[in-house]
Amino acid sequence: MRSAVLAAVAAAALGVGLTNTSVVAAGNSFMGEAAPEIQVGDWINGDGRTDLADYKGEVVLLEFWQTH
Amino acid sequence: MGHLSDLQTEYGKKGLNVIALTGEGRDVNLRYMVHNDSGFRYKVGIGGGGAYGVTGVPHAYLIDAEGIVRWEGSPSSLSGKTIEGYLKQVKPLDQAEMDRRAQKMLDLGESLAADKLFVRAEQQFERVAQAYPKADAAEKAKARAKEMREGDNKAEYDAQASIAKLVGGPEAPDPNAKKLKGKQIEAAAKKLAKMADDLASETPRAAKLASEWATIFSTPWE
Repeated sequence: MRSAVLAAVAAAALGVGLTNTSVVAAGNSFMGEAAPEIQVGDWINGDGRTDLADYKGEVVLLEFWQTH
Repeated sequence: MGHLSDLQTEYGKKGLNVIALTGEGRDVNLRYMVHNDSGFRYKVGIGGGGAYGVTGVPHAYLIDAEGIVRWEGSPSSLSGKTIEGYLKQVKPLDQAEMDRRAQKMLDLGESLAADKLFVRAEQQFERVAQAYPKADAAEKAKARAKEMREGDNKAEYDAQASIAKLVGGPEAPDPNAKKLKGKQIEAAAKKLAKMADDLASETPRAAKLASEWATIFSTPWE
């Protein structure tokens, strides 16, 4: 309870609302670092390339999504 | 996913590869394509991005030619200009790497052929020859594509080709094909179910394929 109050005070001091989910990153950050490899077994419409290593020398836009 | 399709269409030839990963299964994705979307112009894979720890979707990473993350965030806020800057680093592949990649693509074609999916195999063999015409595997891929069309499995190939025509593509609806709507989807579902029955004795693999597509077409999106 005490720690929750402290967290709320700290958040208020930073101007951050505790319920504001937009401050939560949607994924781990790798800016400026090597992109972690992907391990995909099933492609809906693949061409045989399975790893990011298969795209080296080209640019990849890797997106995570859901239909719903 | 219009924005990503647009980016792939605009920058694909200059070396951009849009890859979407999803936690949803194959049937959900295929039903989405049939009932909601005219198809993806980029590649879609299921799972496989554990290290990224993505909890809120959509979320994207732009990875440069050296494999370094250069941008991350909501894909709708990624501009073409940012991508263009990194496309300048794209370089031609050396022969060994070209051969390695062509062989990997050829292997996928062979695994599709082993699964008796002859139209998809043919498409994959053609892709090898198109993507890497100077690779060692290119000639073999062309010959294998021809074998798919004209070899011993011609009856299966032809039956599967007629299914692909109805569906709008061999692996999924082609985004360039005319999109079916409402009653047309229902009619296609009925035709596919009938094909599943008609093809059962002569071309069982095509019959199974027709049955799978019939389910995807007849199950409405919710």
